Amino acid sequence: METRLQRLFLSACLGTSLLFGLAAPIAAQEQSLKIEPQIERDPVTQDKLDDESFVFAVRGGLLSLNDFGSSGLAAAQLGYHINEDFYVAFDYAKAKAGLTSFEKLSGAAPLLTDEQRQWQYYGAQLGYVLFPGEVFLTRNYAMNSALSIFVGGGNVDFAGDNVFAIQAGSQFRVYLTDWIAADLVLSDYVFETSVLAEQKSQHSLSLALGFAVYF
Amino acid sequence: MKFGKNTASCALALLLSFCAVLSSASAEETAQAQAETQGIRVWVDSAYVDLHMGPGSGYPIKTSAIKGEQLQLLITRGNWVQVLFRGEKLWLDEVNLAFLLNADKTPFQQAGDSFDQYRQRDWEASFMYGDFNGASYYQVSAGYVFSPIVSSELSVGQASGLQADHQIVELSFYLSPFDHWQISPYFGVGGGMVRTNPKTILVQTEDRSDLITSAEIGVKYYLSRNFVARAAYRHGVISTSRNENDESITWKLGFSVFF
Repeated sequence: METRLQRLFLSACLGTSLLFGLAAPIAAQEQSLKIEPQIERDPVTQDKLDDESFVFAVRGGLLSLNDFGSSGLAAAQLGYHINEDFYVAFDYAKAKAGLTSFEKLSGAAPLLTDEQRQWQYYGAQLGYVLFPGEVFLTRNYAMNSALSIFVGGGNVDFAGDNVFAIQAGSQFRVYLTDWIAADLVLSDYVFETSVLAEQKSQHSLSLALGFAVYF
Repeated sequence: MKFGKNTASCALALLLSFCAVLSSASAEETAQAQAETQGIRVWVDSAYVDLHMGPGSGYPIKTSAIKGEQLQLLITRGNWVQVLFRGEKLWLDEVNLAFLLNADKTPFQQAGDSFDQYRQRDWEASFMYGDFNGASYYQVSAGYVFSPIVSSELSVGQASGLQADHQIVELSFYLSPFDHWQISPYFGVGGGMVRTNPKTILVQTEDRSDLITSAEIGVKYYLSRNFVARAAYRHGVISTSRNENDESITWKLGFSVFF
């Protein structure tokens, strides 16, 4: 009787131990299948997007200088779009003044040296996109466009003098692609000059055509 | 005939580059469309979002994406986001980013609170325009912000008057005690050099450089993104080689960009 009980007890023990012994690795195996990722989650946010609000433009055109005729103008601009309406930009423009009528007619010695004839402007401006829109090249093909107005201030270096200047004008931009645009800029540089003896305020109008690249 | 030569060469160069850009533009667009499978994939979670032709509410709405439709966010410009939708590149107003879901159905996270970014800024660049003792004045400056309250700035200014031009270089330190206000007053002191170039045609006068020490009081107004409007009054004392010192009064208005 005793041995029978012992046998029963032992077989029960063996059974349970076998059961648990087998079950344990399976459970462990199941657990090990649930692999927790070790990488940290990098939240996808708006900051991940590339900001292409900067624009660099180069232009060439004409500058009309009072008394000095018209001359070729080269200009460069670095701008930043604050939002859909406003942008700020730094401007640089360069031209070389021609001869005055007096110099041409009298045949006298030139009033300015070659170096003094170099006209330079550098300054900053604030622009406002007045009319955003589209231009239609054909019935079914349109490109985005924007007409902006701007005002700014800076320096004019001309005739050996460095004077404050106000720049105002308008810019018509046609977007050839998302990041290249063609520009037509009409601009007025207003500055005081005393190069021809009397102090006077001078309006120098310029018209320039060029390209702008967004980055 | 310098004028004719210059203009002709300018026009020719522009025409050539215009043609080059036009021809490369179409090829580039197709290549770009193929390559741009990147971007961030998101799903619309509101009834619909409008997609415009250009980055501005003035550009016409081309189409709308309805709830559950997928967009790919590509770039941002100003307050607009360029998206790829059904193979077309269109523009989405930034405010609509709040109605988008990520792939794991969590809401798309917009850019952090920019006012907090403003308070935690390190570098600041400013452009200001105003009046220096009756002369037109403008300055550019760069500053380092030690803490939301303490900052430093190096400024270079140019004043163009009828009698003289001045170039002013100054290093200043500022305190802004109410940094958590959107309109925040500040004050500070600084010092540097003033270079004066008298504008006389008849009498030859020499340029001179003098020391300047000054105090400034002003106000900064946080506009949006990384732009701050700024107005200030600065009072300076110029130590001249004469028996008496000159005073300078500067009013200026401008904006700062911070990084």
